[in-house]
Amino acid sequence: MRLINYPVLIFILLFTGCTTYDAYLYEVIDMKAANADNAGELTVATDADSISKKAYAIQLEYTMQFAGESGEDVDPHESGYQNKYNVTSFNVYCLDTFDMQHLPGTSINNYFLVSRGGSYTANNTIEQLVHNGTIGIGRGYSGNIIDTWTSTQYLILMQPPVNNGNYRFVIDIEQSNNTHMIDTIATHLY
Amino acid sequence: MKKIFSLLLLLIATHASAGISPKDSTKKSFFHHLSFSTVVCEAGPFFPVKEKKIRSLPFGMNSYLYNVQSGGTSYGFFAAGVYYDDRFGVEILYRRSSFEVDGAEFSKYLSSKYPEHYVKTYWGVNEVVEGLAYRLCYKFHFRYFQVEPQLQFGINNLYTYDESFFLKEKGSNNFIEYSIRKVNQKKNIVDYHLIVDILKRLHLKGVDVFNFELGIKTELMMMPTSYNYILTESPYGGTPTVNEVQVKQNHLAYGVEAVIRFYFKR
Repeated sequence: MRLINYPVLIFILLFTGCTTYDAYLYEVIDMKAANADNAGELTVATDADSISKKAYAIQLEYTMQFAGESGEDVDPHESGYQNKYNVTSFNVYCLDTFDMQHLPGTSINNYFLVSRGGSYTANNTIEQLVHNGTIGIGRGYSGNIIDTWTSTQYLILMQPPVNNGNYRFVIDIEQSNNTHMIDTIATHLY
Repeated sequence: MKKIFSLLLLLIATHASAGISPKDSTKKSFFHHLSFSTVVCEAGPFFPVKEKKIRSLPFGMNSYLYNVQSGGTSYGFFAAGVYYDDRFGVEILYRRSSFEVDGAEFSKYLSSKYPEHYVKTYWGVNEVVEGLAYRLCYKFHFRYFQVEPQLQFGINNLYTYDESFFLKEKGSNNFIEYSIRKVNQKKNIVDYHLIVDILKRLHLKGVDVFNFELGIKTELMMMPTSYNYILTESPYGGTPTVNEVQVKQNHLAYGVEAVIRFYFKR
């Protein structure tokens, strides 16, 4: 074999091993909010009438729907998932007076951190979530492409209200296809 | 390191040619004295030695670093060696060793320091040392086997990484982020090995080009390191507390490995 063929062969071998794949697309078609309790090691949804305000969280359950592929080169083992529509705004506000700085209808986004049910850090803000633009997650490969699936995310209340009482929270998420997903939950915080 | 290696090769060449007169056709050429070897595989268990001085480190570093585990692995491959008169040789190879530090003690330390917080199980650290190594070798030939003491030096990539722990307060959303950042104080991490190989050379029938050498390798290793550990405790909404601990370790270890080599005849 000619000497020049060796670099060509190496070049071909290197680049055939670096195939990139297109992604599967999904849309978030629904969002349901529920009360959650973060007093234990993990955050769990709860039907309790009263929740400790120091450990209060909001569970968001997203419903995703399969929305096709971003290109022709998809592989069920290799391709990732991509949200078809980015989040353009994410607003949490209280229908009651939360504290003196937050009257009814005022955003209380900066009082929450975002978690997937395990750990969270001071950087996991709602502002960061909107900056990243993505909610929901893809569905792992299980042999078939599934049409709809769900995932959960939690909003952890880091600044509880001074007063105990009944509170109603509204979560309003807007996506880049100009759709809004809105849900309201009520709880008694002590 | 490379300069020392090149100097050694030059010394071999100078020594070999010193006794040869250009007019003396009965003397063999320098290259006729050379033979080559390559390591197919060297692999075996690796036993780090616990360093007692680690026990006195503050801020939990004694728990974090002391409990280095036995049972790591060490292996070498892609070796090329050249020997003069089947005795004195130099070798270059790729070596990799891994060792683990058990995390149970550090988990207990965090739990006792933060009793009002959940501490997830910490499994410990797996550190990997890899890079090119250079050997000076000398073979002693006996009737049925050969003994080969070796001195080995290597400049390494030591793969170690920063860590962070999420400590959630019981009954509350509050938490502490506890992080350990490691800053290397040395420009290069060099390891030193004292090795003795005991090998049996096997001649294969009908094969004249090379022999197999099989045997065991025993080695003692030292790898001095110096790291600054920066420990940061950040309560949410509070003021972080930072502590710094300088740790010098020798990373002493011994190993026993099986060796398989090709030895190419002159």
